[in-house]
Amino acid sequence: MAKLIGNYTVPGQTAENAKSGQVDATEREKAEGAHRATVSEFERRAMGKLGGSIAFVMKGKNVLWTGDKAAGPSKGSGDEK
Amino acid sequence: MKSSMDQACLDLVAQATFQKTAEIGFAHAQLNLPYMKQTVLDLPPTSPEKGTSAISMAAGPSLHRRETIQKIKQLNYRGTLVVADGAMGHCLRNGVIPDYVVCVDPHPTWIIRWFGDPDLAKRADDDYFRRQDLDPALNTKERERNDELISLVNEHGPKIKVIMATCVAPNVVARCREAGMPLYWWNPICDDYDKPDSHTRRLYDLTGMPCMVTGGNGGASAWIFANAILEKSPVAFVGMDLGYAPGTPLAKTQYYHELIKIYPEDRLSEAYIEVYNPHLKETWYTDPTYYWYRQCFLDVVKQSGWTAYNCTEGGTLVGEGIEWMALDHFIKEQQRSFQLSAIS
Repeated sequence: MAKLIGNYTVPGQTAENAKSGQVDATEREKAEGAHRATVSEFERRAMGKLGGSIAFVMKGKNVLWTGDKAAGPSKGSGDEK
Repeated sequence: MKSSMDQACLDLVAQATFQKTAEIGFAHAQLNLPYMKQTVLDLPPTSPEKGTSAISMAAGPSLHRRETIQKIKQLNYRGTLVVADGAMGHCLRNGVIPDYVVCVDPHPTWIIRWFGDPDLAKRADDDYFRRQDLDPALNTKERERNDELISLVNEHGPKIKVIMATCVAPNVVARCREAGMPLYWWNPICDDYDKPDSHTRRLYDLTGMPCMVTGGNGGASAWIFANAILEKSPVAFVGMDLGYAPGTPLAKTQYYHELIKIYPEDRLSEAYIEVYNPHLKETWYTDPTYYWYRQCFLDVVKQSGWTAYNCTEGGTLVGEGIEWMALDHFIKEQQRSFQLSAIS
C-alpha cells in the first residue's frame, strides 16, 4: 500500500506537541487512523481512473448465459453453461 | 513498488471499468444492431484436421521477446489459433492467418488501429501505440504500418472469423465488413444478469445475442471463447504477460499517462506492483489495471475448472489451475497426440 508522507501536521496533533514530539498513544493512534484514511482516499481516487477494457463478472461455473428462455438448438445445454 | 493490491483496490478498478465501458458499449450495440446476423453459437465446427487443441494469443511483450509466432510457424502448429484483436497484425505481418479474432473493447478510436484505420490521418495525435510494446511495429512509421495493415486485413480478412462483442465501436464493425470478415456476435457479461436492472440483461434484451464471460480483456476473452464456444481442449495461451519485463521504463507502460496525473513523478513507482515469477526466477511488475486482469483470469480458471496452459514464457500469470509450459513442448505434444489419434 502506497503511503503519503508530507511536511504537514496530521489531525490530532497540535502544533505544540508536533514540535516537541510529545504525542501520547491515543493521539498517535488517531493520527495513524487519519493517515490511513488519507491513503485510502488517495488510492480510491487513483484506482477510479484506471478502468480496463471491459467489465468482468462470473457467476459460479457459468461462462455463458443465453437469457431466461431455453437455449437454441446450437451450442449449450439449458440456458447456462 | 508494492507486493500486492488489496481487494478494495481491485474492486475500484472493476467499478471504474464498468463505468468507463457500460453506457458507451450499450450505445454501440444499438448502432451495431442491423449487422447482428450470426451469433457465436452459429459458428461452424472447426475442421477435424485441426484436432482438439487451440492456442489463444494476446499482444503482450513476450510475443515479441520469445518469438512466439516464429515457433508456431517453425513447428507447423495445425491446431486452432484464436487471437485478441491486438495480436492479429503481428500474425499477418509474419505470414500467420489466425482462425478467429476476438474483439471486445468498446474504445471508440483505439481498437480500429488493430484492423488498419482508414481515418488515421484525421485523428488527433495519440501516443498510445508508440509508448508501449503491445506491438512494437506500431512504435515507428505509424502511417506506413497502418497502410500495410489495411492491405493485409483486406487481403486475408475474409478467412478470419471475427468474434465481435456487441459493445465494440461501430467504426470497427464497418472496417471488418469492408474487409469482408465474417462477424459472429456475443454480449459481454458485465454484471449480475439475474438482477432486474442488470446491464447485461439490458444488452441481451436489445440484441438477443448470447452472453459470455470476458475475463476483462481481449486476450482472456479469446481463451474463454476457445474453451466455452469452440470446446477445445487443451487450450494454451501466449502473449498474455499482464505485466512488464524487468527493466521496462514506467513511461512505456500502458496506464502511465493516467498514473502520472495522480502520483508525483518521484513516487510513481508506488503505483506499481511487483510479481515474482518462480518459473523464470524473475521479478516482473505490473500496474493496477493489469493486476486486476490477472486476478480476473485467475478467477476464471479457478471457477471454470479448465486448465490453462501458460506458454507465454514470460509475465505475471502464475497461480492455481495454470500450468506453465514451453510453447514448443505444448505444440509437439499436440502434434504427437494428433498423429496417434489419426493412427488409431
